[in-house]
Amino acid sequence: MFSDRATTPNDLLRQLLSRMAQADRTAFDSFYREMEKPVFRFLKSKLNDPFTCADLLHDVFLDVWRAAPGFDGRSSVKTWVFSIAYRKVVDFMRKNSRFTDEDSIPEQEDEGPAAVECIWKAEEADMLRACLETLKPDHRLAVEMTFYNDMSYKEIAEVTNVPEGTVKTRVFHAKSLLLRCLQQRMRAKVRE
Amino acid sequence: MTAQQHRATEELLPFWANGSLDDDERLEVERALKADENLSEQVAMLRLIRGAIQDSDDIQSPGEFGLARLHRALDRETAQPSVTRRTAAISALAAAVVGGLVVFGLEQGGQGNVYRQASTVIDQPMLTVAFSPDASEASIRDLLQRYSLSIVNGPSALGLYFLSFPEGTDTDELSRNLRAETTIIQSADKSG
Repeated sequence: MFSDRATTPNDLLRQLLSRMAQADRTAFDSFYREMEKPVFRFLKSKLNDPFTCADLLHDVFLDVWRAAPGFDGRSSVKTWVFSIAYRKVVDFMRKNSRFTDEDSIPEQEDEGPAAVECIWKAEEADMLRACLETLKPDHRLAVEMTFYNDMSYKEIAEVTNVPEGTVKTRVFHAKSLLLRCLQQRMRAKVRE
Repeated sequence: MTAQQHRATEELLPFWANGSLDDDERLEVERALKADENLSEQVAMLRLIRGAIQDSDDIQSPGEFGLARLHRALDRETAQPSVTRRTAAISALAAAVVGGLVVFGLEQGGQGNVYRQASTVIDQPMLTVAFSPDASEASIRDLLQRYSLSIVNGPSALGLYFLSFPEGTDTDELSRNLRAETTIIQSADKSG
């Protein structure tokens, strides 16, 4: 399906975009199949409503199709697509008065080695997933982009239009909050 | 290492764990890891979080159904270039709901599926299938990709979908193969 010259995931996506710019719908299908799940997951980490996310996903890919001829390659394709998705989310939240600044979360102490031991013992992945759900959207988004999409803090900063330091701080706090949540759940389990 | 340096290193750990740091930062973190056992424990914890997130790939995204919806929207947009995206999407949805719009895909000159109104004559055979209620989106997507199929319409009131397939396909064999996929397909028949 892809040319041998495409050696990285970004190369593959760039080739597909290039074909999409020529109105090649087969390329669009392949592009969608590569990016649909990560983008949907990205949307879902900001908005928990799957129907709204499906609508926004639809809009994102329509925009990608229309904007393909103008893609200039200054950022990676993934960063470009997520930037479009992020703008859709922000627009939706603003229209629905759900836009909040979530960076005003107070500084918290790191949990230290005891918490690390705790998570070592947390064999049930379900517990970790449940704790991920408790994170605020911006924290969950940062964690998802870091660990699901393996994006750099620079890429995340570009997508979410915040300083690089903010991204690092969000992931740092999210990690602390996850540990706290896990500790609470482990204690509750012991008491049962 | 000062407290400030320690914190800066901790903030880089998630990005070291996902392999996205540049060389300078990566070396800086690796030096710190050798010197501080607590940081190594944090890395283990971060890897656990990353593993859990990567494994939790169970989000139900629109998948192939979302792609079919996009094709319908693109086709309508092509037919009515002055219509806004939102209007086009709403119109497409409304039309589909009342059954006024049925689209079928036709392979054309290697440029992928092109759609047209169902009121026109169907000049290519299709397959009509019913998916198993327990079939996951991922399994449906995999099946469609394996056989180079595209959903071009559906679901009908009875839950049937119309699939297009590449020119020259042996439809009897394809039907048999699909019917053998008993965990995904309930029924598969030629139509058109």
